[in-house]
Amino acid sequence: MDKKILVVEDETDIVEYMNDLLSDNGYIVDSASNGKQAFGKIKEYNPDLILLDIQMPEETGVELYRKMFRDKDMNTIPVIIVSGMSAANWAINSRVPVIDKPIDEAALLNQIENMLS
Amino acid sequence: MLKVIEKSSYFNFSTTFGAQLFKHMPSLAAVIDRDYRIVLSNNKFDDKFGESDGQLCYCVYKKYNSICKHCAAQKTFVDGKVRVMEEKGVDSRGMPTFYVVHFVPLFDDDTGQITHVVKMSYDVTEQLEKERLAAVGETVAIIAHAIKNILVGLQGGMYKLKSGHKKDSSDLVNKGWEIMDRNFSRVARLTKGLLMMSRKSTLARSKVSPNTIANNVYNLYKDAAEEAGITLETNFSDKCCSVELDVQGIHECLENLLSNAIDACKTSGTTDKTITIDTQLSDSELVFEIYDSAEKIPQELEAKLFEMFFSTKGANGSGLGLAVTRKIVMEHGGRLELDQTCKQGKVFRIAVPCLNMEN
Repeated sequence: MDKKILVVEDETDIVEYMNDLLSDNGYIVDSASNGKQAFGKIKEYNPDLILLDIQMPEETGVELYRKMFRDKDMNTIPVIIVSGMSAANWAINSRVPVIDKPIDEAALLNQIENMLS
Repeated sequence: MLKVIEKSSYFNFSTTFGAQLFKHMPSLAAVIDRDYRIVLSNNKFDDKFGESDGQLCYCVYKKYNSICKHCAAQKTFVDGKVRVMEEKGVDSRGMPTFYVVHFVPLFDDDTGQITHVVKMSYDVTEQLEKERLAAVGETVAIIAHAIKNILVGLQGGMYKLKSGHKKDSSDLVNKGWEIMDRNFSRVARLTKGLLMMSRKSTLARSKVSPNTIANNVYNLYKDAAEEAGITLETNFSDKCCSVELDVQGIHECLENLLSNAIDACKTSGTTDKTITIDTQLSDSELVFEIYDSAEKIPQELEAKLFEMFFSTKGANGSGLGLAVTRKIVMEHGGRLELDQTCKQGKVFRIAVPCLNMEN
């Protein structure tokens, strides 16, 4: 069965890009534009992996990650941070992989494949 | 306050407690007479500005040939008030130095006349430099973050273009170009906004009717407003005669405010989508107002509204529009306000003083 990825990102052009890239590589993609919306979607969509931006309106990626960590059903879902903020490297648990923007497509796809295998 | 020990032009404080205190206090201190000559200075002052006994204070502090334009010491000699000023000087190495100085009058015990002024200063050069570097660092990080997001947008456009060519899909190719075009515009807006914020004030004032500027901006946006189902109205005062304004600057301000109002109405949940452009002229002030019927801005965001890179429009905003508008308005000697006291919606108000009005 195809794996499901939730893209949590407020910039629509970046969401569209991730949707194109990931669906071309066989993944099923959904999106949320901020942490608050994403939390609801995670419960409903039950993704296999989450691509998470940090700087978003209403609720940041850091705030969402902390909520996920406290939820026993969510805290096992693998997360990859995709962010333009250099502070992303220390804002969240250092074991969470970080892909910097602009995105290295091969690095991102490899990371996703490794985490889902 | 120091007591004058001798009435001669030069003091001799060598043995008193006060003299020791003065000589070794951690701030820079100098005493000047009514001819603005330094008659006494402490160690810290001498280290900073060099030997200065008998020299004119404006020569020593600032390397000027004549008295400072708004000399605080001069005012203190007249009224006896203590003053605190921020000053920029030049130290003995020729380096710029910034300090906060207290001007304190010294009174003759017998006559009660002000004979000298003490200038007690603390050096804030290093502190200002640290604050400046921190601010620069923070600004650079914010700019880099904004540019990175735009680059990813461009990446997305290129990906779609390549997919379109591969799959022989003109639809994908067109969408790809659209995305690239949009992100190119974002870069252009960001760059323009940054340059605008960084430039020194160079207003090019000319006599113009405020209604002409407002009407031009209205004409630019009326079709876009209509397409979005927004009622765009004007309410121009017939008292508006020609005043001196930077036409391009005020035009940009009105464009920023009107474009924000249109964006707010587009995403608004209210059924009423109305924007009004108003002009008013009083004896002293010219006012432009942009009213929109969209939701009010939350109170906790009001303070941040005019900061650089703050936007309520997410990726669609550069975060510079209001900051640039405020800069231009302040350069005119005016003010930019958000007024949310109306029952529904909000008003952004530009008020500038009227210069050289003509009927």
